[in-house]
Amino acid sequence: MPLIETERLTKRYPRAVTALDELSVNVEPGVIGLVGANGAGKSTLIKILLGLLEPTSGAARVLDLDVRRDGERIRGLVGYMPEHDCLPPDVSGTEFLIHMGRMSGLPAAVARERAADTLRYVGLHEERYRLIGGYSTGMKQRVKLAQALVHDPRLLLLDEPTNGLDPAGRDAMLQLVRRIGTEFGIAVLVSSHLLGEIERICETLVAIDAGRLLRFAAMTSFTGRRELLAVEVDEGLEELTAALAARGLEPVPDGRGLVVRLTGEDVYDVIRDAVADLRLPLNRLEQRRHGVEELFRDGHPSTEAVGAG
Amino acid sequence: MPADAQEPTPGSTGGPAPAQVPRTPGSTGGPAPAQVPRTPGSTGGPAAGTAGAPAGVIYDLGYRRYGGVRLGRGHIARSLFLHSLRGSYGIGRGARAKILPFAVLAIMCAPAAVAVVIASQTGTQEIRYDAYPFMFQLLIVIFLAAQAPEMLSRDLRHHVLPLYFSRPLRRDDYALAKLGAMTTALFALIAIPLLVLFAGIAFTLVSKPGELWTETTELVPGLANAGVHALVLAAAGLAISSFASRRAYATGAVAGLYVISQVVADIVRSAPSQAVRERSGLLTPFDLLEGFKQWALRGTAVEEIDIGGAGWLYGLVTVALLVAAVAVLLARYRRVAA
Repeated sequence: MPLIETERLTKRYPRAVTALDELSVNVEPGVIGLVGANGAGKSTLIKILLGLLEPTSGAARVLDLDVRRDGERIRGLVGYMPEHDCLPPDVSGTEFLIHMGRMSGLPAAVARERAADTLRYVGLHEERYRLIGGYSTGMKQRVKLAQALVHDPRLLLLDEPTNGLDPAGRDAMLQLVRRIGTEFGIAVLVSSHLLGEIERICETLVAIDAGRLLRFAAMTSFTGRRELLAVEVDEGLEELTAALAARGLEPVPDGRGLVVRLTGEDVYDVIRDAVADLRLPLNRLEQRRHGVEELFRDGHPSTEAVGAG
Repeated sequence: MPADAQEPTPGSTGGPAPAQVPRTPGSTGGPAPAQVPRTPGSTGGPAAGTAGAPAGVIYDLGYRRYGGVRLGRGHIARSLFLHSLRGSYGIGRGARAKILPFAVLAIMCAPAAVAVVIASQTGTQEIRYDAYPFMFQLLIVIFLAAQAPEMLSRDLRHHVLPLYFSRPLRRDDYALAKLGAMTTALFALIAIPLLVLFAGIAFTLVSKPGELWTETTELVPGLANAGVHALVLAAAGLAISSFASRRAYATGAVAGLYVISQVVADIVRSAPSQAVRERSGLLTPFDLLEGFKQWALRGTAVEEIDIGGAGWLYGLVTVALLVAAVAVLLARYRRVAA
């Protein structure tokens, strides 16, 4: 059974703004990335899938339920994390989660139990008894995620869950999302305007631009080519290139440094050892962050490997 | 490369990708933890995903699915009603949230308690049940102006509504649950003093069943009057509050409209025309509801308000006000962005 199906889905707002333009996709369960620049129609798509917005034309089904007719049933089975702030500051994380669990139809005792469990899953421990107003941005994002998870949904719709987080917070949130998708067995649709961060956790990628489907593909066809590590040294670039090649990597010159395909965590160690053996001054060693705009670039090496949906 | 360690990738279109290296934890050699297959169908009990989790980490018990009962819209609306009702008296919130509602309730009960003491000494009862809301209208306005915005503005101001509307609850359910909670809160504020008064008086009348019966027949319309006040004032107060995302603005609007309408009605009441004087009460809520009581509940009139033969007009305006306020409230929540 497909998780999400849309058929020529179109949403036009007043004043002739087209948010979605005949979008047709068919997604199987898993961790799904929804990528697009700001204003590409990501939030509109998510709200239509929840039955919160009425599509102008076309059809959409979530968990085999029609968004127009069965919105209420869909909303009972789906958890939604909005992009923007949505938390009252004057209640504790625990109280808020209990209430939101009950609003999803959990009996009172179950809501209490699931609220405690869910806050633990997202990594809020002692803080859960404090008022939300005193939480850090990262903690608030975790509460937002927890309220979407509290009723054990079959599908999570996460709208830009890494918004406003620092790099460490982003990584932690992405790991959490990945864990929900793999260990918890809950299908996840996660939107982002940063392809670079979303490609690390997704199994399927849906890229949209101006409300149209840009690309639809399994992530393996992106990632093998796209996970790159940039290395920069002050001197001895040639020696390093040779040393890395000798160790089985395929360094490619790139500006003032070189890039290596990141095939696993041990690539870091290989580079470190090579640099240390040559006694070179290492300037930079970091993973490349891609912007979604790279998908749009003509002739990008990844394009021919992508099966369009 | 151990292909069996690779996760199933649904949706993989299997395009030509000879040079690709799938990103799986086990793909780089070395002793990688075994990949656990996803278990979407498992219900109840810890998911299999934690089989390899290190022992002794207390908080990582694995994910537990929930396969139990999920209640429908009706139950959800009822829990929202109870949650809001408790909140309107600060129950389940901090101590500061309880101060105002309980202080107002205590002050509302004080005259009833004093009247009981006087009645036990002199045998005469000074306060009529169905005049109570009119006499202590200022306290009711204070409660309404403080608590109606409190009930709505938190969810509006902090954009909590998308979280409600992305759940099985409908927008109308949300608005009606809030209306029910505010009505019940106001009814309690008005009816509890009446019951205090009745209980005290009844205690002095245990030996006189005839007078006790008379007292009861006066209490019942008093409670009905309290109910009408609670419903109409709650609807009006919430309709006004639903437009202000800041609590202070809503409080100001509710209190301000009350004061202005009262002043206007007082000016009109000094008019020379008898007919105009009799209709002046239509302009301000408590005079209107007092008129409605005199007409619909056949209650005894308070001195200040004489509706003459215009009773049907008071009935009409009261019903119109209630319908309009509820319609505005529902319309507001149908349009508010999720």
